[in-house]
Amino acid sequence: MYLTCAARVKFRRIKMYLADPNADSIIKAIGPEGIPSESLLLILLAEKSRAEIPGLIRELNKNQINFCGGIFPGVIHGDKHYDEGAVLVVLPALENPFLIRGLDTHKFVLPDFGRKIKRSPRRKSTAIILVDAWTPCISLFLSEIYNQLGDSFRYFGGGAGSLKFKSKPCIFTTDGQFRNAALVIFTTLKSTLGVRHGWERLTGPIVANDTRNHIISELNWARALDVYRDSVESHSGKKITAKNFPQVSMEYPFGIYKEGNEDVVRDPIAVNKKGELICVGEVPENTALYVLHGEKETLLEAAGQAARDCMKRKRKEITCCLVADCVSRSLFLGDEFHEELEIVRNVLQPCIPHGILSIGEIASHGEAYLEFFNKTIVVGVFHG
Amino acid sequence: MSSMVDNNDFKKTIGDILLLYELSLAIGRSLDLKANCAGFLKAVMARKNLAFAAVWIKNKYLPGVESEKGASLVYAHPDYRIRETTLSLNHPLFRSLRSKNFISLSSSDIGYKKVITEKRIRTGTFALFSLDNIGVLKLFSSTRQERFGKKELSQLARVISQFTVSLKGCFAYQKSRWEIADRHRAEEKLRQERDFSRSLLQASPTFFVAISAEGQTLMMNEMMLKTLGYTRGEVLGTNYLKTFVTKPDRERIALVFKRMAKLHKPSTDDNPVLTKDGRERLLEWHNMPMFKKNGEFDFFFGIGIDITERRRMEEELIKAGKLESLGIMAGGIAHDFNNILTGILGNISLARMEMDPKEIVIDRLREAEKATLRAKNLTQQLLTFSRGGTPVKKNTLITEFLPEVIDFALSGSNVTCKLVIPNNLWLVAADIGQISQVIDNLIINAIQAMPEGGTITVEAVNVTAGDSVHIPLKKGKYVKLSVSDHGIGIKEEHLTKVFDPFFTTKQKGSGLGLTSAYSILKNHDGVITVDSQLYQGTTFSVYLPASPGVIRKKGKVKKREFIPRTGKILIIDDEEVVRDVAGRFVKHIGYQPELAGGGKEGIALYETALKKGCPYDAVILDLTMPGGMGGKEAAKQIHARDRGAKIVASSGYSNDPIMSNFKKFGFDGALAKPYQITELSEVLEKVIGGKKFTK
Repeated sequence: MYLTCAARVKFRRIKMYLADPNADSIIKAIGPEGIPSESLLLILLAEKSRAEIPGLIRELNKNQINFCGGIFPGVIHGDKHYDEGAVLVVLPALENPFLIRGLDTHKFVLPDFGRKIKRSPRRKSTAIILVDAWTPCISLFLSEIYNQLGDSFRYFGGGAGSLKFKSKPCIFTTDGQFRNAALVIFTTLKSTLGVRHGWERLTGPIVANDTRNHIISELNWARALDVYRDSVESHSGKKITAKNFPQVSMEYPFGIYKEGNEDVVRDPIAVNKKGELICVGEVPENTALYVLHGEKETLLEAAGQAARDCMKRKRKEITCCLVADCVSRSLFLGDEFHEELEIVRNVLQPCIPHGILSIGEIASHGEAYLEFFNKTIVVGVFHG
Repeated sequence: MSSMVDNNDFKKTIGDILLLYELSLAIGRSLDLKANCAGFLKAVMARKNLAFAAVWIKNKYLPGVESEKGASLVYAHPDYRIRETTLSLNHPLFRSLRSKNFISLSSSDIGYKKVITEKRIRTGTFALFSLDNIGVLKLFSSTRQERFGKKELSQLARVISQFTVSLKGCFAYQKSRWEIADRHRAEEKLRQERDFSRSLLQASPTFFVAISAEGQTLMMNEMMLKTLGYTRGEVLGTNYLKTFVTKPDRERIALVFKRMAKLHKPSTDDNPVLTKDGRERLLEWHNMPMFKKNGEFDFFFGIGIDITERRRMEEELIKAGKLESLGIMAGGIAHDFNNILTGILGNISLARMEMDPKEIVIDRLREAEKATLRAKNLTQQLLTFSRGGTPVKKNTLITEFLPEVIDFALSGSNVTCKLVIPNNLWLVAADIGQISQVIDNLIINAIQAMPEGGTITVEAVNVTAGDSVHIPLKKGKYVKLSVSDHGIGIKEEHLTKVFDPFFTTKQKGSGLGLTSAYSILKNHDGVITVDSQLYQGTTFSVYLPASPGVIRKKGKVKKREFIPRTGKILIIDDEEVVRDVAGRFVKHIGYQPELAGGGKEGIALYETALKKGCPYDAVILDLTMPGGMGGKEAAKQIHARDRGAKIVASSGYSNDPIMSNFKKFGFDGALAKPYQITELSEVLEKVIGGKKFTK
């Protein structure tokens, strides 16, 4: 499938999805002219194609192609999702992508974006952020980005990595592969975003009175697992153990209250020996949480609404559509996940959505605050 | 329906409570101002979906801010929106809250734009909260178009009042940290100053001491410790007056201290301090009383300058000055004496010449002449002492004059002398008169050391310095002359002082004899030493450099005679008795004398004689004619009129450089007063040569 990128720079036909994303196929897809100057090739790689990375980096550097990307549990192309292959996106860039490393401690240092971005951004240009989903300081990182840039940019992105809960190098640039890192790509494209999840409150509120970043130690002053189990078991009809925890908890995430918006979802994906719940993304201490539950219908409805939210602009102005859909939604919906993608595609057509199955999603929530979401679909429509 | 509404209200209330619960617990999680604000306000922004939050504090509540006027931005998130960081208290942001705890303004409100102090804010809604009158909390939502509700503002105000308390805690903490840091800095500065002062004190060549009100030694610097011979441990805590001040000075110094403490005034004083071994060092003290902050006396601080050596040198200079004055006086006396002796000796000589040799009185005249000659020697000593006297050296054998000198010194005493002289004694180049003076002094001292009588041994021997002789002499050959007695001897502590001017242990002694001897030997490039054992005797040894020269063979002593001559001699002298004697001598020789009482008169006579075509054959010119033209000037004037003039210098200062080197000064001869007729005749003979007197 080919997509016409109607960017302000020179546009060329580029194959967006490659089933076999090796260096040759990518170079062939780009064509002999390469990518336009002041553009960047964003490579969204599915995890099963991880092995291609070293060769890719080497060969693309040899061919002087400016690229960067991330490794995700899956990629989306239209109404399909794949656990191998790659989605290629050519973006007009304000500056070379910024790689921020050391996100495993609070001592990471952000570049001075204001000084480094030599070209003046247009109002509401978009910053695409890819981050190692398993790094502990995601919220702090996003807070620092927002502190520097505020709402001068729209933000769109997601968490990269493996579903095996192990931190592996999942961010790559012309300089190599990295873990505990993030990519910030400033594109000249404007965007309109839709952020929805469709998970609804089941029980609560419960106070997360003792937390450490993304680990909940106590809920309602008791061991976190015990309180969670009490909240969930009766509804799920399943006895929760450490072994089946991921399968059960997939249907019962937490929601953090956010005034005027849907709760921000926090997905407990594992439990440790102490009975502490491990989530994707930080849970602030003393936060009131709700146990959420979703049905297929509510999720699909949310996905459609997200797509509709970002279709406020006239269609002829759309350059491309990107989707960051949480991999846990695909796991939850299973074989019916394609329906979600179909709904999104139908709303966005004739624009074909491309994107990632991510571990956590990044988006400006409305006009304000930059959040890290779980179990959410973020749809972004990009304008030239 | 109503139950649903109730249920919704209930859920809302629960939600509000939990929000406030979370926000309350987010307050005061750090004493650091920025971290405290971030912890609370980020939670507010996240839950309330806000785009911006800022905290403004009035400067007078901010520790460390120089200007107390206005207010400063102490926290904002995101930084991206910051535009203003300081505001006047008249700014609408503060004025809008003067009588209120909180207020909300939306973009449709009149006052909305006035409170905007940020970048890129157009539409939206502000919620402003007074922070207990110390500042303002500003919250902004870009998505709300309506004002914040009163209930919501009220709820937030409650937690914000707790937040304000936490801010005050941060300020107090910050202030105390700064005060601690300031104190540390001040302490460090003080420590550095103290270390510097201590180093200065210790390294200083000046004495520093601190004494408590009770008189105990509190501190003594390194210089003082070292000079006095103590260690620090030995002095600290000691009674200063008893340990370091001499007994006669203790009471006086104690009074000085009392006066200083009472009058609050510093004092200066010279007083000696005692060293550990009992010696004294003289110090010039500058003392000051030190007081505590409350005005109470604390301790005395003394700065001392060791003036021991300086005082000694001053005393030496005074002595030297006295010596010089004495020398000048002695020189003057000697000069006048020589003039008088010229008269006495001259008249005695004339009397002897005019009398019949068989006359009994001739013997008396002869003795009188001898006595006069001894008097001449005495004035010679005085002159030697006064000026040191450049010796007029001649190659001589000591043995030639030694017996006479010894006899003369021994005459009238109950002491005998044993003389030990080898046959091969080396010559010495010596001023016989000066060396005779030295020997004379040594003999007299030896006699005085043996009041009951005894034998003095005078021994001469050849020695070579550097061999068995260990005395400070240049390498070479010397004649050593020793004068030994077996008298009372000299105390050991006096041995180093015997050659000092005015040092004497005798009741009637000038203390100048050995000083003069020392000076004479030094001028001869020799040395005099002393060796003594108490109650056993003393030996003085004189070392004179040996001379490689030869002595003129002594043949018959040519009797000095005058040779009768003819011619005119001009005698210029301000002393009438000298003019008279000289004139008679000249006449007796056969010349025709003419006399002048001063330089001008002499020149006038010379000029007249020149004009008349019968110039003088010679001029005998006194060098020292005070009050008028001096001899040198007169000679110059005469030579200016007559280049061939023959001028003989005559002087009572026999050690005048002109006398020892007259040719250099343009004279033709020298005649030391007092002189005899034969000396005069010889000089004139040499100067004029010439015409014999023919009867």
